[in-house]
Amino acid sequence: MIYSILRLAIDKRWAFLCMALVIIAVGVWSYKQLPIDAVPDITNVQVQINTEAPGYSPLEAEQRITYPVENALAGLPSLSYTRSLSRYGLSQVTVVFNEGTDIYFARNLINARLGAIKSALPLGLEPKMGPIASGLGEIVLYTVQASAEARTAQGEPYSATDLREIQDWIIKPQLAQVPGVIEVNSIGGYHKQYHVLPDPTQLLHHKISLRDIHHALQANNDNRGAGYIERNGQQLLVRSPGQLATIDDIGNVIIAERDSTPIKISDVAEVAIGKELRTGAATRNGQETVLANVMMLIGENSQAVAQNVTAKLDDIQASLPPGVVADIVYNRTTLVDKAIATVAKNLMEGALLVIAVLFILLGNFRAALITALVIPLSMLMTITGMVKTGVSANLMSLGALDFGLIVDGAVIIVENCVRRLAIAQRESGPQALRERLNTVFTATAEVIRPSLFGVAIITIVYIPIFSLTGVEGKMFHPMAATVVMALLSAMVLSLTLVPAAVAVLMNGEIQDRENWLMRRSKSLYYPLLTLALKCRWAVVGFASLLVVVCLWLATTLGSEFVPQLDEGDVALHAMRIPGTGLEQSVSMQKTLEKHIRQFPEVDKVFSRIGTAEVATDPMPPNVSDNFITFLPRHAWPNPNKSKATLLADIETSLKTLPGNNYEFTQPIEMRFNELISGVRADLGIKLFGDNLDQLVLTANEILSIVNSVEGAADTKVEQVTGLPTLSVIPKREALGRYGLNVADLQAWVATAIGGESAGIIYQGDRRFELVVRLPETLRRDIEGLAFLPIPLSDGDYVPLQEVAELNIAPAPAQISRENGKRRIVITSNVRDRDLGSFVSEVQNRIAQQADIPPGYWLDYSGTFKQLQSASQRLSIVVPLTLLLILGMLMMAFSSLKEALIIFTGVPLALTGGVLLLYARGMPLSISAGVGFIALSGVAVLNGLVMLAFIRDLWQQTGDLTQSIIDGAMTRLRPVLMTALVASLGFIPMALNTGTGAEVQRPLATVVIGGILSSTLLTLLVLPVLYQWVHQRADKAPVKK
Amino acid sequence: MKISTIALLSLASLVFNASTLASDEHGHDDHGHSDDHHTEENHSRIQPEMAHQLGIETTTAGPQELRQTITTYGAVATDPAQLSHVRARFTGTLKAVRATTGDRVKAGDTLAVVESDESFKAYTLHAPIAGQIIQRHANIGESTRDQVLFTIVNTDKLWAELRVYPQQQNIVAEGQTVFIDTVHTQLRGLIQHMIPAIDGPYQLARVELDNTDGHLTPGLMLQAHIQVGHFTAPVAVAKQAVQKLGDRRGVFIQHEHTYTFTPLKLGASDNNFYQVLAGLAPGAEYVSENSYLIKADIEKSAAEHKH
Repeated sequence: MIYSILRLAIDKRWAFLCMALVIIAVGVWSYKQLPIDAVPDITNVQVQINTEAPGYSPLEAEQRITYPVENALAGLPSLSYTRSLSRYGLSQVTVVFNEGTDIYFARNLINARLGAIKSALPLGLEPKMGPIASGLGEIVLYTVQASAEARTAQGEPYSATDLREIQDWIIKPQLAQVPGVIEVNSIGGYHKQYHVLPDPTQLLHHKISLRDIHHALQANNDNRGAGYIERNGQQLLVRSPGQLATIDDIGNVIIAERDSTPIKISDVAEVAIGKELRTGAATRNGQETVLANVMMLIGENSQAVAQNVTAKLDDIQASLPPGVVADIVYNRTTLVDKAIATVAKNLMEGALLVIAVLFILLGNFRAALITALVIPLSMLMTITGMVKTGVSANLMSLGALDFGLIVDGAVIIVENCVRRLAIAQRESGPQALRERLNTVFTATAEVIRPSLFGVAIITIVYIPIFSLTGVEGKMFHPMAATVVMALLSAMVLSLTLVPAAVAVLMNGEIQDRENWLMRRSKSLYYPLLTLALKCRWAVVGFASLLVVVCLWLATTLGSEFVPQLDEGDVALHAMRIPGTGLEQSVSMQKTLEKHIRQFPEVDKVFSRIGTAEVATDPMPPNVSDNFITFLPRHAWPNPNKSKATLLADIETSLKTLPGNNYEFTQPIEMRFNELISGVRADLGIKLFGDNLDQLVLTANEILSIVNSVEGAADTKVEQVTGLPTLSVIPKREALGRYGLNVADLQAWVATAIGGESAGIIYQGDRRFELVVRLPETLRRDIEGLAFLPIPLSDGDYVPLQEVAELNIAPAPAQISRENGKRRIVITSNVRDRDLGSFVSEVQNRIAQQADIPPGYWLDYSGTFKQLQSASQRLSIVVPLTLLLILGMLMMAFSSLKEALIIFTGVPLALTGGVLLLYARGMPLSISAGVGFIALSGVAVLNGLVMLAFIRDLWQQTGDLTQSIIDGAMTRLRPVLMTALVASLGFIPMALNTGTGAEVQRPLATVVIGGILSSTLLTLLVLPVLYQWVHQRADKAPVKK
Repeated sequence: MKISTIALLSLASLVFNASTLASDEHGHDDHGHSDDHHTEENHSRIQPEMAHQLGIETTTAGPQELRQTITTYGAVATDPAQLSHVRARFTGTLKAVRATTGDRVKAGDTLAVVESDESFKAYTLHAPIAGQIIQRHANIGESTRDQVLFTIVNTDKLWAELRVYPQQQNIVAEGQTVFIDTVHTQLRGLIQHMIPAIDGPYQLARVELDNTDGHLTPGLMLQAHIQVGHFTAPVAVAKQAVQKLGDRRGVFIQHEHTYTFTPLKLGASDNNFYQVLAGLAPGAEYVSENSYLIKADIEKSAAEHKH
């Protein structure tokens, strides 16, 4: 079949050349559709269900909201697991679906279930699904601020409340219209509220309760429509406006009548514009600000959306009051542009180098052109494939593309055609068309099998990468997919377009000059080869030794997961002790930011503290996410200062600030971690059960058991308690004596301290809550609370302390659940011991020693789990792949022996990779591993090409040694060419220092080093081995 | 990190044709744990400049006057001795009325002239007390019968009747000082006597109030602070200085740049101070402002980023 395709390609060569135009057209069109981002999206398929429950403590949030929501979700199709947390004022249930589940399908399912349980939730609470965004969704962050001179309409400087109002009602509605934006999430400032702050003495005086005020406000703040009247043919609408609009309106609402005197709100309370009890704040450069986060719909092109958002914000600027600006502080485009520029530069330079090498080594302009053509064509075909398979262009997916590897197959074919055509011309002068086509066909046919096999093998070695799951899978699948698509494209091209192009273009006199480089190489190679064949023991011995040494070296390299993309910006978690109040946290944050600002390299520093309006990342108020952006390097006092040094300096300096703990990370990395949020330690023991105290008790018991196992390090129990809580515990008997119900007391406490919404004040589109609560001075005076008067039904009162006990005690700060049960996690890392035996010892000891009460159970998780499944999968897939390659080699040679000889090229190739990694001081990483994979493919290809030729010669001549020498000498050029193009193609990638280069560098390094060693060794060791294996049966195998 | 090692080695094993998965290297990130002390920490070092910047201030512990107060509410009442309901001694007809609502009268001032129905003699009604006439039910020609003709009240002296509920009764006693908040000012008085309320489970602490300027009116609700304890503590610390570390309450003592937590046995407290029963010598320099920062610094190893 291959030959008939080949024949067709040569016969209908013009048609095939026209096909190239189609490929180009489709490719260019696809390129416009290609989603571009910096890194692959590693978020799992998840939906967050947030329920805001103002005033609810963690325990109540769990009992009333989290539990019913979780239970409603049980049994959803494709459900992987649920986890939840209940905090002050918030219940968040995260539903994780199996990979590949359609997110909209998942959300629909959840929506249906949530609808069914609405009635089971407390009145007024509404579970909402989080934005449809992935970990790459936070594309633009901006702050809203006013210049120092700017004044509001009332002539006052802008307050945080004013700025929030501008954000909520001017900026956000406009930005939300930008296509691809799914959410604009604000944090910081205060929602404007109208507060009615009653004076307890006045309430007593007029015998008015908080409930009376509440009722009065509710009953006096509405517009009603009343149908229409038709009169004299005209229709008259009827309405009765009664909404409150101003502070005076509110103050004039009449609550009751006492001694025929109306009592107004203003008689018993102060009415003012106030601040909400907020759960989050934002700061920038040491000052409070309003920070908004524009989130992108999942699957959109971040580049395009970010640009549209930026443009829209520019437009919006015109609609803001003078002096107020919305200033972009983080823009994903910056990073994506830089990363893509790096990739593009690498690919471009690589391609140019490859073309240059082809020109030099082939010594034939047209031949080089044909080979080089494969590069853009296969690239365009790959892009088309990426769009079709939904792979986005990013550092990882484009990071393993080496045009050198891709053109390998074509190089071999073109080289052979050039050689054959030149020989034919030398022998019989210029050829007629038919003869020339025949020569092209035979020349191509001669090498097509090894070349296709080679490419097929390079493709096959990528298969194990597809067996990776989880985060590794998400990172490396696109990479493998892209490479495989590129290789397949090249394979198709070398079978069709390349022979067609050769047939068309290689007319006239074929120059196959041996240029000086080839001549020098050959004159160098010949003596070396003969020498090697003579001292074969030394050669084989040296090669084996090298392999052993490099294996050992590999174990000393150290390892990392994936080289972390340097995003340029830094995200810094600052953590204060649990229970720290928001305002305290803000004040500590301001000091922190002023400190960071002192570094001249820092451009902006801003942060969010606590939880934003939409709880995509529900942090407690004691934690802040700081973003630090740096000036361009040339603006630094010392532009050569490394980022690591700078960060270390910052960290040292920040350590002097009391009360903060820090964790350095990067914006995208941080977001991924937040969303994936699994156990990140080696071993995580999840303890499930009902009673929180018992959970903590048992967890601590397990903790001590784990600690007693050798190898345990950083063992800790997740902290669940520690939030000081003021409990107002009703005294039922006393309540009874005064004729009060528990609910009356609780309602009073909730309104007095937490505040209760008594309606909405409308101002055009803007709507503000009307809240009744005690004045700040009284709310804050904890000792004074005991004396506050609770109204009785007869208008009398009783002090709070008579009917309730006040008690401050630590309570759960957060309740975590998983799969519908409370859970607490004990995590541990392992040092100086292998993970497997550690885990089984821990399991044994816990089974023997721990006293786990009935109704409580354990689940072991952590990276060891992933490790187990990964190694299980790989231990099946890797040998299978090996067998497959071996099988293919055997198909090519119909000999196990020769297949094995070719296989020996692989370890030899790896030595160079390991040595170069070592020389550059780089650790082993999955990226480097992918390099090794590519390398083994190239090594096999090299061996294949050489051995196939030697064998053919041997069959023709029957002289083994001479065939080896002749064969090796003939194949020197293609071997050198494939090697040089493949390694030169990666050189830009190995040397680049731009944004994102660190992700690609290890792979390129491995391939370059490996190919150098592989080439040398293929040229010397392989012939030696071949001779050694075959000398005993010194007769050529029968040709099929 | 571990995954990568394994994955790598597995991938490499494709190549090495060997499937060794042995790996004892896990590439932990060791940083950040070096300062993770597990010993009981109780001090923090802060440079003076930093302390100044953060607003950490210290005060010398010493004797302190403590005023313990509780808050109560109550109504203003008139003194029974200062309220007079004037009636005619003998029923008769009013011949003249000399005073009307709002008039201020002295004791003995003539209020009205009544002609007795029995003797037909006219006699004069005098004001029995000094005060203001707040009610008048008398007009010329009317019969006095038995009704109240004038109500005179003297509000120069009023009583605050503060409700003392059972929880507070054992600490409130006669003779204690009371600070009463009015709209305009704070008045000071003494609890003259405690009387049980007739229709409630509380007692009334009665405080005499001077009302010569007339700002108070009977029936007005008041908020009052009864000073239930007043003494001088040999050592006391400011309330905002006290923090809880673990289960113990205490303050942070400054010694040069080191702030050390000192657990205290605390006694009584007022709005601003705690009496120190044990644990602190007078003259010690303790953190009185922003002490939370030092607590946060000591306890910070417990702060974790949780999601």
